[in-house]
Amino acid sequence: MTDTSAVIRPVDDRARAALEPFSLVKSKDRAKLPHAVSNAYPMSTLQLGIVYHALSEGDERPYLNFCSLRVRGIGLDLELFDQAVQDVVNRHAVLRTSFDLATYGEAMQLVHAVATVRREVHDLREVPEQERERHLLAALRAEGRRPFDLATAPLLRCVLHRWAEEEFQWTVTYHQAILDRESLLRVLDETLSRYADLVADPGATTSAPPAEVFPEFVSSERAAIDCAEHGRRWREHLSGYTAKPLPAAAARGAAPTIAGEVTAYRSVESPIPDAIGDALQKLSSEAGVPVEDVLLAAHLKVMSLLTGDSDVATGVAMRPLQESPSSHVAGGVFLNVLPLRVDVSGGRWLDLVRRVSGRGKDMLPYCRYPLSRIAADLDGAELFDSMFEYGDTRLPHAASGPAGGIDVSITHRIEPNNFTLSTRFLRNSRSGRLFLALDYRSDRLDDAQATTIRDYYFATLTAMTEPDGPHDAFSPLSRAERERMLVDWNGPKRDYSRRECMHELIEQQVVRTPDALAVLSDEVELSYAELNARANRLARELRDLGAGPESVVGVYAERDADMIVTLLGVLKSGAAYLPLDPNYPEERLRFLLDDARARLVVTKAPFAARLPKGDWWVLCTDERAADILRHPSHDLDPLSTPDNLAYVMYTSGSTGQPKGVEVPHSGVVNYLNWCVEGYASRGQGGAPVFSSFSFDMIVPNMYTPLIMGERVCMLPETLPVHELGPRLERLAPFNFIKMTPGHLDLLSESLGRAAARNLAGTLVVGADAFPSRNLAHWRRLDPGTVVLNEYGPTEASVGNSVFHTQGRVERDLLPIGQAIPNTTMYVLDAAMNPVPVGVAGELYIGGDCVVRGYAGRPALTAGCFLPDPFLSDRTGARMYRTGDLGRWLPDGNLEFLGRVDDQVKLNGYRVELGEVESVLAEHPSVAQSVAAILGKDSQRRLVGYYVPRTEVSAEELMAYLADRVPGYLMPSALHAIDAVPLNANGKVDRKALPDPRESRGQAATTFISPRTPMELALAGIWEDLLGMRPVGVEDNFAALGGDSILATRMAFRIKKDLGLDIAIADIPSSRDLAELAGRLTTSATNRPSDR
Amino acid sequence: MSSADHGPGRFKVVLNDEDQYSIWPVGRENPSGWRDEGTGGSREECLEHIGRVWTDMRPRGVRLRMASSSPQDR
Repeated sequence: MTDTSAVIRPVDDRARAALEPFSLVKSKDRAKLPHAVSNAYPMSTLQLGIVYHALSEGDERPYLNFCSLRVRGIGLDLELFDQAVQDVVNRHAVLRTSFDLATYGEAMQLVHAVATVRREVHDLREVPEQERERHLLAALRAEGRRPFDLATAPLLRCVLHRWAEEEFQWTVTYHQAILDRESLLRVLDETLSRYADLVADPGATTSAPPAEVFPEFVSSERAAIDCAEHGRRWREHLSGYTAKPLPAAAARGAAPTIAGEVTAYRSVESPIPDAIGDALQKLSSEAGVPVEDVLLAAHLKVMSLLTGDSDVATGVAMRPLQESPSSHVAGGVFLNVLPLRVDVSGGRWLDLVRRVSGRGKDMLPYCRYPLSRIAADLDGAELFDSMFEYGDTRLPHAASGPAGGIDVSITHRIEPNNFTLSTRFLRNSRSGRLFLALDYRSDRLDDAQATTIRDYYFATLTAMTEPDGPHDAFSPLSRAERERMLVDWNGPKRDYSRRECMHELIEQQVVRTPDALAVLSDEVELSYAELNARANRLARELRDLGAGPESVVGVYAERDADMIVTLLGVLKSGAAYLPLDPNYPEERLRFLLDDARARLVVTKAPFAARLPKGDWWVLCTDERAADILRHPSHDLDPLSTPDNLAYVMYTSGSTGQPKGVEVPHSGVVNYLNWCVEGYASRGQGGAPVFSSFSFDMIVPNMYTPLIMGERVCMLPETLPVHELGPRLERLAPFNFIKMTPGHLDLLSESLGRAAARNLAGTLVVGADAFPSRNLAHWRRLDPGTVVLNEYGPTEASVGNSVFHTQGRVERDLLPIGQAIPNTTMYVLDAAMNPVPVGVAGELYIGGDCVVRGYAGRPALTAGCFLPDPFLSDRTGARMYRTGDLGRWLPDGNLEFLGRVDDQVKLNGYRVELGEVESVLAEHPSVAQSVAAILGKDSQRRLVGYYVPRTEVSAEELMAYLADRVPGYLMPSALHAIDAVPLNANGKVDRKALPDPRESRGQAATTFISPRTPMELALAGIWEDLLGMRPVGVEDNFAALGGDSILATRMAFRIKKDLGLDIAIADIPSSRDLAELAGRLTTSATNRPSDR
Repeated sequence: MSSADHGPGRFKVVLNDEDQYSIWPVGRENPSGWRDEGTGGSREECLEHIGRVWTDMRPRGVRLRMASSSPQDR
């Protein structure tokens, strides 16, 4: 490693600073140099980057910086002013520098012996005062559009505007590749001082020119690039870091700018109150670090708050030259903005300040290594979109107040960079006051956001005045912001009655409409009175068998009218029901009944044989029909109250066992009241029930109609998925239908326009992330029906927020909207503080909807249901921690962003990969197992992998799984692997698992392209729906990830594109594409002539 | 209180008027209606403790009502 101490040696070490002129130019190039240059040396990487940007963006956005000053208290003597400017140009070599990128072996900068600044002057003294600003802006705009000729020095020019006798405007336009901010300010300051001196005494002498230091910078940058240690330290510093962008403003056109550029840079500047400034000084001495590091710590903390992550990186303008004010030299472009990365979590503010300072100190010796190299070393990664800078001064003499009678202020300034946010802390060297200046790109942040961010800095700086406080729990939000997120954007208060249970709401409806149709199935129609009488009789039988409040009754039934009677009967008895899907394997049923401590199961004789034996009574309603009929039919005296359980529903559990969610009446009643208002108010005809009652997705379809006098239509279990559309079309219209995004896609394939528009007053899509593509698909048929995107976990009583759409939606995923009545949703950080708008956090849900917990799992319950610190009108309330990531959008809607863990949603089902993995790993021949979701969008599928202990076939393991887990947890395929891939942190790296579909594509030896027109057409449809290409004639539908929904969609496509009918079962049962094509060709030839 | 007591990851066991258990970060004021149970430690330690002591997960109101009434009908 080279001696880096030389790199950070101070600049006033004059002996080192002055490199011999031309010493960095290779001899071959020296011969080509023109005579009039006094020095030449290669360009720095940073300069090249700037020039490259300027050239690549062309005339659209010249990379021009300017700074415009208002000078008061002195007249404008052009001759003396020009002389002052010229004197300063003569003193500083960089102001006489031009660039040549073509002539030499490397990009060269040439220092000319003489360079004259171009200057124009406008007289605004006769222009009415109110129009002067407009004139000035027009001039600035024209300046911004006039590029520099890189070959002509100086790369700097002036415009002067006479304002009054003793007042003028001075605008300096300069190329960013010659001056950084500090250097520019020194040029301005020096020029104005020189001008004041000349006005006082036209014969005033100038001091000797300072040493030329920029060549030395270029030379040490080259040394850094050549030193392997530099690159290695930066790679280590950033290892494992992923960039987190700042929350961007809502999409909208950029605001107009003074320079007329497409991208506008705006700025907010605010003085920091003296009391805070003093406290920060004290903190800086206590921590033993410069105040700059205290401010950098504050900046990193704010970045962490804005990105929702404690691991943050920001660009820091690192200067190795420890310049003292006396040695200020207008040197060049020393500023190297480098990524400083710090994990800010933990400890006190004091600890944070020390940690940040230490990290900065560690990297300072490597600060000559150019940013472009760091990015290239990390495969060109975008590392940060914010930067921090600390300037010890603004204008050291002139701008810090009246000096020699001159008053100077910077009025306009453009320093384009690519950062969304540039944070500068400026210290006035005379008064010691601190200023905060935020420069931001107005196409990324709007003014309101910038002001909010400014407020976060102030809140953070204020909190730091107590250095011993823990900073993890700190929240920068203002009272108004908190109020907006916690109250204004949350669910409205509604006085729904809180006294009734679910079945009591239905009983009230029975009184209102006894003869109306309540339940419709293929075989049966029940009026409200009939439904109620039958349920009352069953409830009495159940009470006789011991059912009552807090007891759990299993309901093992298929979807028909009797199912509704049974569920209502259980509720009327006072007990809670445990839904048992008729398709569940025996092992699963046994676990559910044991775990929920059910003592009674209601079913029918044909099913009873499939029930496992256990610690429960089995009531077959068909066998005991005569006994049940003898019970009175009037309503029972109520035993249960709204805080008793209504149902226990099991969801996938990550540890291998499902967990039973205990849901009381109160939350469901609140939700159903909302459904009447929000879902059912736009039509009539009730709702259809077509999915498993063991998931709460279907709760609104099943109960909402019954509390408003509408009908529930029970669609049988045996209904093939492709007949769902036609069946719904025949039964339509409905008040509403709640379904998954997959259902909506299916209906989009199978319904015509008229049927789609007539289907329902409202379509509610829930249980899974809702891609706007699915909505667009539907909108082609039906542009107008209200479509709602509903979000909510079983643990918060079905549904908690809703996004309303009546047209198309621009985002990839539909937002999940706003909370329903009497419900609160929070986006919180790790310390359970609300995060700012736009920042990702974990979603928590509070209010009436929060359920009791997980059956028999007190620790799990306590960890997921936490005290709700935000509900002011209720004590002892709890909130549910969802494990979902989300953020607030600026319009007050919530957006879903994924999971904090491995849980996934597949076709609307919650799937814990861990559950599939643990069941698979229990097989004696399996050493290890992993499950993963492969594919995208509608092609997503669950795939299992196993490391065999002994020889075992995938078929055998599939059968083993099928006996133990329900269908929605079954992988589409199982694959043997040699070892479970792990990432650098030793965690399972699911991305590294082989995708069998991809490996098939590469095994081109066995690939046979489609040969006949039928095979070609079919392959096109497969490629489209399975989302992969190419598809060959030997490909198998299931092996490529096809499932029943895809088979259905494929049947519709075959009908639409080819005009051929095919039984859906033919698709998965065909050995390969060729066989399916053969069947289709046969059916096409046998087609009856009348069709 | 030393910083170790309210460093990150320090929790305490709390319960509300319905005798429902949960956990809350040490050093942060209890939300209204929640009282300290007396146990503190890491998140896992607190949850493990709750797993042992929270044997009846019915809310207090439900429990009391169930104890005072016996099923009767018709």
